Amino acid sequence: MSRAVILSLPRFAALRPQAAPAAIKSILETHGVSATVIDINLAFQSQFKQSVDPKDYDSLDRWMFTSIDLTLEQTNLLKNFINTQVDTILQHQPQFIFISVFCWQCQKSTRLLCEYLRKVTSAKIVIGGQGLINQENGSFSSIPYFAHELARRGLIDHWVRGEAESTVMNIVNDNLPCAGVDTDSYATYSDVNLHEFWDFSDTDPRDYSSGYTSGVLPMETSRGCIRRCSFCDIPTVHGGFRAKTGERLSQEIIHYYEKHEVENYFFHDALCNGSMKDFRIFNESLLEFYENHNLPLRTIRYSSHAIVRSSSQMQETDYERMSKAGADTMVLGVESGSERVRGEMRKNFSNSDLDYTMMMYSKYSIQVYLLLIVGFPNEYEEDFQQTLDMLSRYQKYVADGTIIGVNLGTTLTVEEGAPIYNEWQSFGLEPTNGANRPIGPDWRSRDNPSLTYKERIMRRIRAQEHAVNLGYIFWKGDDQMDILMDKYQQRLARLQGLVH
Amino acid sequence: MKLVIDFSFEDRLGIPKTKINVDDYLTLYDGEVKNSLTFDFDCTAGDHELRITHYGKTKHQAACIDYDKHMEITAIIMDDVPLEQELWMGKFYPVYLHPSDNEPTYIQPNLYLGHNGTWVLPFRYPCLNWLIDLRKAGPDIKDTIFSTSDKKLIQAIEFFKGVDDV
Repeated sequence: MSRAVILSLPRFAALRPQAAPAAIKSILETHGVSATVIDINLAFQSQFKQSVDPKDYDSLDRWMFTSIDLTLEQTNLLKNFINTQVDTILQHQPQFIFISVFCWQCQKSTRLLCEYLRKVTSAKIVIGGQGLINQENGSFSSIPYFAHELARRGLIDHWVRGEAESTVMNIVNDNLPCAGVDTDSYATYSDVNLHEFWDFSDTDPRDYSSGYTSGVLPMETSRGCIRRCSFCDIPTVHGGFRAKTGERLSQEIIHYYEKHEVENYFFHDALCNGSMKDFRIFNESLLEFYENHNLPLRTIRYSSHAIVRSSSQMQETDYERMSKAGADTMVLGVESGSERVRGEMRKNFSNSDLDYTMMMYSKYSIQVYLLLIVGFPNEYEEDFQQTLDMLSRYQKYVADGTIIGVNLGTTLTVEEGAPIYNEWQSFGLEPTNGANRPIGPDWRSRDNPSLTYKERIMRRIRAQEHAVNLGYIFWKGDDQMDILMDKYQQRLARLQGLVH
Repeated sequence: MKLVIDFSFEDRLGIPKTKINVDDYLTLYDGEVKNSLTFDFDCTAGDHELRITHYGKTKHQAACIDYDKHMEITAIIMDDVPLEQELWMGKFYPVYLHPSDNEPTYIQPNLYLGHNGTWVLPFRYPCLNWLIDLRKAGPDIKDTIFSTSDKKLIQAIEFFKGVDDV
């Protein structure tokens, strides 16, 4: 019997065990509360997927993030799946059920499961995570609308707004009210160097579709970000940059390596090279560990988001050492090929910085995954062309195996909490479609009026065509096209008065 | 197309001579081999052959047992990308100075041009696309939540082509 179960719900990529449940389990068990993690998201994408007709699975999967209707048969399949999961949960006779709502695409499954659970258990249901808001591309909203909805309907007992470290035990101990529990304001920010190591003992990383034999485990190096990109709301959500020390980070990764025999790790936070001092210590500590234990270089491999730095900030020796320590794939928010656009994005790096960075990653055999944003307000056709040209220029890095993916997103949306939302007038924005202020895709640039939402989407499509023709491995294209078509269809229907 | 070819060679019996062609008509170089040769030339899209010929080695030189007059391809870089496994796709067609019945028509894999003869590497231009197709680097994300298909892209193009700009 577990006093608590912690759930991951569909739908997000089941590449590795999710971080939040492992963190919550660790917090609970450290305080003497037994807890079990159940990954329903994985069950949906593995056992359930294999047990149903592919067309039905595809519809159910798409239902999670679009407005399509399900057939009666598909609805029954979903009900059966949920019932099975509820049975599994109840076997643990939990007093608390914590649900990690990873993103907005998990809202339908969360709503449905809570409805079922409410009928069969008196366990306290607690939800938390980025999916408590309705923003699709952002992390922040002043109001966690989804949490309010479920609370209003009596489907949950509490929601957590922000960090588990400063909230979860207050819920279990009924030490309420507490900042971040059932509030719109965020929980108190914790000291990342005091976090417990996460507990992955309920999940087997090898069960996930990571592409690595021994699986992948998530980790984090920091919370917050050292940069203030104008489209990004991360600093608003996570506060100032808080990084684990290099020593602490290396101790943690070695702990997981020794305990779980997992060789690959993904740092899911905003950047691993925010503090170059700690990043260097981390890499040197790993190299020392290999030497002391007679292990080959790159025994432990890590992938991470990283920022592009100039050659004076991140020298060649840094790339060499990180490669030897085990840097595998770096996710770079490059965003645009135009320096002018990136300037307004406040990305703080030049094209020559980017060229240098790409050259170094290529030279030291570190893979790169590119994130791009199409349709920033000051992106004129010539700026967009520079993005296409950059993709052409970097095709050689696709050929040499450095670039292993590109992701173009669903065009620039104005997200609450981002500087472009707060300072929209200074960015020359105007609201469209009856919005009070620019929000989501409902914005127009006074100086660049031809950059309509449709034009942004058309550029996004052109960029995908270009990248695919160049041989880039293009990630999430189908999902993103489904989302764009679905949202645009809804927008048309709303304007035609069909939907209110 | 940018092409760099690096060689090592034995010159104690004289510097080996080489002729470098693309297909039948474009001669990029003809003369004594060098450690590195760089070319920048127009290349049409489609299938081609890079031909590196070793010539001028005499029977007398071939009979020398102390040194083997030869050239060896150590690297080929096409449009800034070094060839890796693709180098082994090249076939060397020797011209035997002392022919016998059981000599092979070509030697593969081989980058050592000891005999006179021509080493032929088929390639396609644009060569970056050719290399990407051959290598299929990166993870296979087909049939995963991350996948991208032409079908969906075409569907989106058709959808947005006809809709109002709202």
